[in-house]
Amino acid sequence: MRVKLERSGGFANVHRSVTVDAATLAPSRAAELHRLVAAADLGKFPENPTPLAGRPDRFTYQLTVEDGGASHTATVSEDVATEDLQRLVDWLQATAEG
Amino acid sequence: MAQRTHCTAGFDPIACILPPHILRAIIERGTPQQRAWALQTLAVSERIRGRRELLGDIATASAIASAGEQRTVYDVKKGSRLPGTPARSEGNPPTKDAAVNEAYDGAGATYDLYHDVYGRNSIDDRGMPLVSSVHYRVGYDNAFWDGSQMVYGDGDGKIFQRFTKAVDVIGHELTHGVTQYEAGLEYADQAGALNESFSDVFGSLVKQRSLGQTAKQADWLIGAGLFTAAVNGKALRSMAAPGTAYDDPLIGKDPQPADMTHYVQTADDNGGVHINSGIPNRAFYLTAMAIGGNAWEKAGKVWYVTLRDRLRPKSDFKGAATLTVAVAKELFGARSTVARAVSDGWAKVGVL
Ligand SMILES: [Zn+2]
Repeated sequence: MRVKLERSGGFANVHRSVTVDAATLAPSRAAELHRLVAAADLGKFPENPTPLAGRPDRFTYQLTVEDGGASHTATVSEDVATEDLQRLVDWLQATAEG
Repeated sequence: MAQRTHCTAGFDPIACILPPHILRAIIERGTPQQRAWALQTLAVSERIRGRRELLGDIATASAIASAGEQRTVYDVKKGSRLPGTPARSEGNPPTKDAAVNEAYDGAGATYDLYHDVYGRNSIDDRGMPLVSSVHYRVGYDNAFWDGSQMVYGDGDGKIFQRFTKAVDVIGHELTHGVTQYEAGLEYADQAGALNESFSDVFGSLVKQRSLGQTAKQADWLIGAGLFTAAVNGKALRSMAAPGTAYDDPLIGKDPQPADMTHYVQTADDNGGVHINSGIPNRAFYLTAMAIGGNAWEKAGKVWYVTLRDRLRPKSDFKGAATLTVAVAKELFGARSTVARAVSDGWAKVGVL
């Protein structure tokens, strides 16, 4: 499983992109990634949400999960992100930055 | 269930659930924190209803409104549940935590600009308590206004330092609150870029006034000091020269255009609200430089009155330009230096 996070918007509007590949992780960390992805339930967020007026200075997260040939992308504004999705985002950033 | 029909997407759902008479009871009998919360909620509900009289007969409310600035800084302790634990309240001495003190002082400097120069009593012009939360999440690279309070991250330490380090960031976030209560500019496309630009303008004016700098002495940078030493950049945005604030292998180049011929059409960033804001930002800079002296006195006054009385949720650049020129003429005279400076400023960036 490979998970890519692209972060845009925010006060700074500086784009950040991180990719974490479960194959490069220790087994316990890879299992953690699988758990976090399952909990985030990305399937319920559309890839291209209807553009709406946003909230000031919030991030937009685009998450792409590739697993066994299948791929799903979800685009989520920070102000509607669930706590489970935020946990995945925080984990990906912390893991990618070592 | 008449209350429910007033509920609008984007507002705190609690405001839609509690009817005004219960909010009024809380304002009269609650703890200071409950009262402050109820007062805010009621003010937002009133705004939705387009009515101001709901609060009019409440003695307690006006007592709160006349109490002057009321700052509270909370510590979220790297969590996400807002506002967190109180860390410093109005009149308390500094703490050992720099982020707490910066949020407190920055909120004060912003309150003072609006109050002393423009006669405004806080975000809602009714003495709304200024609530700030610091240490939000872990390594959080952002600051934002959530509709009722300010929130600051500590930065990841690799690209960004803590967001309270720059006083203009604090002025920027509080101004999102002012805009919410006044013009209500939509946060997308040109209206969104104006929303961003007004936040940068008053953020920069907070900084200039607290440093005692004239327009010519000011650096006109937004977020100077937020980048770590590892980043090749002096700030996040430059109002004087949009597009020149940073150029770095890791984060790329400052994407802001300096005039309408370079306007960026994009679906990202709510239609480029932090990108195309460079155009009105530079119009303000050019106006202030042409007038000279302290930018907050004349140019700032024109922009403030326009934000408070004239702009509408869907205003665009041209609309804002026309309105600022009209306000400048009313305030300073049709043939005044100020009115001329405003129209020249917008003309140089290709809007008028
Ligand atoms: Zn902003």
